[in-house]
Amino acid sequence: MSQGWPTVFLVEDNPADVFFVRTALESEGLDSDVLVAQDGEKAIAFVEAADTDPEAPCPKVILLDLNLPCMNGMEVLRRVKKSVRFADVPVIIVTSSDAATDRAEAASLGANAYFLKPQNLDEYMKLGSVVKEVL
Amino acid sequence: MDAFKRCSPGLTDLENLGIGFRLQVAFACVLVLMLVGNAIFLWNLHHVGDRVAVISTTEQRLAAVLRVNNGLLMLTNRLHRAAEGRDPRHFGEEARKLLVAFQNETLEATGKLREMTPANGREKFIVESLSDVVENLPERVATLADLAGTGDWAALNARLSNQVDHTDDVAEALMREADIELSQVRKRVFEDISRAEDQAAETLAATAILSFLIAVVLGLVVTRSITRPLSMLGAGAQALAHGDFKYRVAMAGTNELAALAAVFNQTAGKLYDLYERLRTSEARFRSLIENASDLILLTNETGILLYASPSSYRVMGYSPDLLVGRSIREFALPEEESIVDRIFSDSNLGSNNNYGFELHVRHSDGSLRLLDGVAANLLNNPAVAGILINARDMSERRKAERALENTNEALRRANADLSVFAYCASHDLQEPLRNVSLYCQMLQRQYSGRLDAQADEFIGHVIEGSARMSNLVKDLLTYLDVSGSRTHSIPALIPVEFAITQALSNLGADLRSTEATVVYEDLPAVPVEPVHLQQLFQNLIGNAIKYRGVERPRVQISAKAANGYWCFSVKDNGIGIGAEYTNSVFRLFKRLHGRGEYPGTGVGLAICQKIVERHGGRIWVESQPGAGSDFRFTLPQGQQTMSTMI
Repeated sequence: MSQGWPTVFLVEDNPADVFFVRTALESEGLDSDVLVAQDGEKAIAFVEAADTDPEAPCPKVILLDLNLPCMNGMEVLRRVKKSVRFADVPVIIVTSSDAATDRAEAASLGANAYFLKPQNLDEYMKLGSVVKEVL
Repeated sequence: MDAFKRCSPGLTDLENLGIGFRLQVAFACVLVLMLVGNAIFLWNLHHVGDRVAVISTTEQRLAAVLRVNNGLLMLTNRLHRAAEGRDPRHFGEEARKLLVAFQNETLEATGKLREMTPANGREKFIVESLSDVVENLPERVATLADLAGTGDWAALNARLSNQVDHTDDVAEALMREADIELSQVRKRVFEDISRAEDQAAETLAATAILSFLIAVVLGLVVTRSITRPLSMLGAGAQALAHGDFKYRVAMAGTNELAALAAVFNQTAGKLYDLYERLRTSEARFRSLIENASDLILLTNETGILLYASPSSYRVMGYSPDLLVGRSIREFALPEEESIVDRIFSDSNLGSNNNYGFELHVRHSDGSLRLLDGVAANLLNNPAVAGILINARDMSERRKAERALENTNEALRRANADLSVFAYCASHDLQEPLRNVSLYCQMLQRQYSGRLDAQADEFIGHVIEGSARMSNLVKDLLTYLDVSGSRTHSIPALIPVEFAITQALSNLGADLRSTEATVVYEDLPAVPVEPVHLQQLFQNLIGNAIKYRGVERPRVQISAKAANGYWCFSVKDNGIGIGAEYTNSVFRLFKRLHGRGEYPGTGVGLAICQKIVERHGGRIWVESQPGAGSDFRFTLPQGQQTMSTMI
């Protein structure tokens, strides 16, 4: 783990979700210093920058929303898995979509876990333990 | 029958006799007449023969007299020569020999003379004299021999001469008599013959005239008795030839012509029946063609119209008589000439298959009409000898079809748009709703008890409301998913028990808390997507538990086959549904109870209905308040096996 670099790379456009993800990470005692990309293009730009610059930060886990502006989360996942430095970083899909097709596609693209954003706060807080498992 | 012809009474009897018999009688009459004539003629000839026999007898008698006379003369001459030798002994021997020779030679003639009956006294005398001479001859020869013995040769010669003269006289007289008699007899014979000739001529003439008259009469009668019926038959044949199949030949009797007339009438009757049947059939088929809304055309092998049905006026704007003789090509578009060419192509005409085509024709008002037709090659059928075209004006229908297609397409697009819109709307609703709910929960967690009691209650209401709305949106998404997802292929057969097991697993907590029992056995497999099948049973079993009565909930699931479908029953012992709600209960967002009594979104049964109807089935409920509900639905039996599923 590079010093000073955030552990979690969160691709999420909804500030509320950014807040609850942070809260969930904190509830498990994880580093809540999260690098957030607010849309798919920014996320890919970060991945590509990291690929060209060995000194660029590399997170330990990627939390990826599927429903993103500009670019779909699946596209981001696909690009991540092609990346030189990010390919082996575990990816957790954090989405409100319960569609079977989304679950299947995410799994086939190499996502490590699929977390359905819950209605219940306690359920949401369980995301922390899911992240802990893949670290 | 008005055409009935009566025969005259006199001929009717005759006409009852057979024609062959009539002809036989006529010929027999003529034959008998000829025989009678011949008999008379022969009888006359026989009379002449008698006369000829008389002539013959006289001539025979004359010949016998002459022979005896000649024999006597020769005997006398020989005796003279014998006397010249003057030898009494020789003369005696010679005389005896000559006598024997004379007797031998004239034996037959003398016998004849004795047998004959003389015609008159004179003749009798002559014959008797000659017979005396012949009889007394031995005695006289003996006397001559005695004279020779005495040597009195002079007396002997004198006696011989005297004897000759006497014999000559007798013979001469006889010949004279015979001549006279013969000439008389001949005269009579000639008279008889000429009389016989006259009689024969008369007889023949009479016979001929009589024969002729009888033949004429018989001929007339017989001919008339034959020709009358024949002419009646001829008239009948003429009537038939002119198409009067009702004509009947009125001929009674049993003869051959009457039999022929009966056959004729029978044939005419059959012809009439056939003609009537043919006319009825023709009228029927003609009316079929003439009243058909389709356009029916008959063309030759190049497309010249030989017939057009009256519907041509409606379809093409021309009455049939304006179409016949014109080519079908005149009405086709130049760019569709190839279609017309194909209809009349050798390969098409060479086969016996019907050729289907679509072709635009120009209506007399200038508009184009689309014909959907079939051309049948009936050139080899002598009754038709043409190409039969049966075409339907598709212009209106095609227009309507296009309009319907457009409407359908618009509807499809609208549905798709609506589906996408609803899906996005529902999905996007989830996000802020969840945020609201989560933040309120956050408030609850961090500020509970630190605000006043009412604030805590308000926060609770917000959380509850957003949870309910979240469920509503989720159910709506499921409903949209069921109606939006399209399957193009028939799904594999899924065992219903498999789907029920899944559903029960999802309902596990509720089942346990209510101690519900779900019983089922021997359920079939159906061609429904697994997720939908599971959803269907989950919603129905879930409802049965939710709307339970005072007893422990019990759900019974069964199925029976009916008309290619399975009819399922999900029966419970719950609170039941009022008859007025049994239809509306399947409507989207329809709820029968207050939220406080039974929570729910009112989408569950709408989803069930959607799933069943998407597979061609039907869902309904049989229920009474307080007596439980029996949800029934049908699903297709399907053909596929479920091997791929397990």
